[in-house]
Amino acid sequence: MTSAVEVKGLKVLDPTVDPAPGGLVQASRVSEIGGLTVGLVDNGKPKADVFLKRLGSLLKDKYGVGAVHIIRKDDASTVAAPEILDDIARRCNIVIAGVGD
Amino acid sequence: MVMLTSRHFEADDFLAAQELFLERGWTDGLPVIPPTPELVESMLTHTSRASDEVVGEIPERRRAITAEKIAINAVMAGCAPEYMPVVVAAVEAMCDPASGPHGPTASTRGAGLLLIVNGPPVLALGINSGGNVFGPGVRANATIGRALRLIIMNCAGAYPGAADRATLGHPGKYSWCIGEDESDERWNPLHVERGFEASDGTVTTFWGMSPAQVDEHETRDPANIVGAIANAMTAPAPEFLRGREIVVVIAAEHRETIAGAGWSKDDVRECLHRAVPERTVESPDDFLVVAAGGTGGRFSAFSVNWGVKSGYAAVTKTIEILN
Repeated sequence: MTSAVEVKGLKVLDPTVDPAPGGLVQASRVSEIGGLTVGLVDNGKPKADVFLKRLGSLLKDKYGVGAVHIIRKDDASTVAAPEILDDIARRCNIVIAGVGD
Repeated sequence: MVMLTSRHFEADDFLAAQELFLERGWTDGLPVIPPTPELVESMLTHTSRASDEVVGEIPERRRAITAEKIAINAVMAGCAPEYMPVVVAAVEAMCDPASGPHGPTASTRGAGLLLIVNGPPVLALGINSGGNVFGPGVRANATIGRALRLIIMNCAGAYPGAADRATLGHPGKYSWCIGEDESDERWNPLHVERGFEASDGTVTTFWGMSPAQVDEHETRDPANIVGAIANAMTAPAPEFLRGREIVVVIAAEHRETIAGAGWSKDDVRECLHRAVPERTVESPDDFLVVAAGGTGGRFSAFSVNWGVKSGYAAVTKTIEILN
């Protein structure tokens, strides 16, 4: 948070808009991923599928993840559709989403 | 009585105010008019919106843009108070869900926000639609476009290097506002084509990539001029036309040849659509044909939308006219 500058003279107004509070709530963490079903969100960018497929293999081989579901969004810049979110909630124990290009 | 709720700062003088705003990253790098309460209140007297009324929201960023914040940024940009209704309508259009501002203000592809003003405000506010229409020299164009850029930064959070990750950007990201030249009655203005009355003032927002100029000085055949524009669009990478809208600005001398041969804007659109590769631009209606630009050369220009029409469309809103 910024603070007022302690000088006298011209009074000027703040042009900025802060994000509304309380938008995101962090999901509870898991201590162990062995045996869990992990969802990976493909943001629709070219070759995201290649990267996530490899990541899924590593999660299974190195960390004993039970299953990996890759879910693809149509467009990196839009929020995942409600049916995609419902599908993730139904099928997966944990989900990993990221931003990449 | 206007009630302002923004926090305020004190600066020694005009130059100290510049340093304050620059240091905080609240400007485009150029000096700003210090937004004093008096100037902001004056700006707000030119809209019927209450100062705390939310004009536009960007849900992905949990941001709500009020008339007061619009007025502060419009003052900073150098707007005359009479421009306020145009800036308000542009924010409303930009934040429309069909416009989808979250992606185009963040993307590496680096879109600008082109504003196209139609109807009575073009002449009433002195918005340039002639020579140098994309260039400098006219306060209304320069400051209305700049106000939207400052709002995109300060209210939408798209600061360069932060949420705005543009690789190159383009000069239109400083300011990009044009009027349509509606003096030639052979062509319907853009807002009439989009369902508004000729007597309405409107602003259309468009997430434009850097405009490309098309030189065609030889032919007097309208099909050849329009064909040259289509070729210029297609040459670089036709896949980037897929699903896009494209603004096509036709300057006065090309217009004289095209309209003089009896071609309507519909004829131009259909000719363009036939000329671009199949499965790129979906419909002739996806070409927004605008009459603007001066005489003294046979040029036109176009700008391709940053994203597909289904998520990032051009949006037109009415400019409020206060009695």
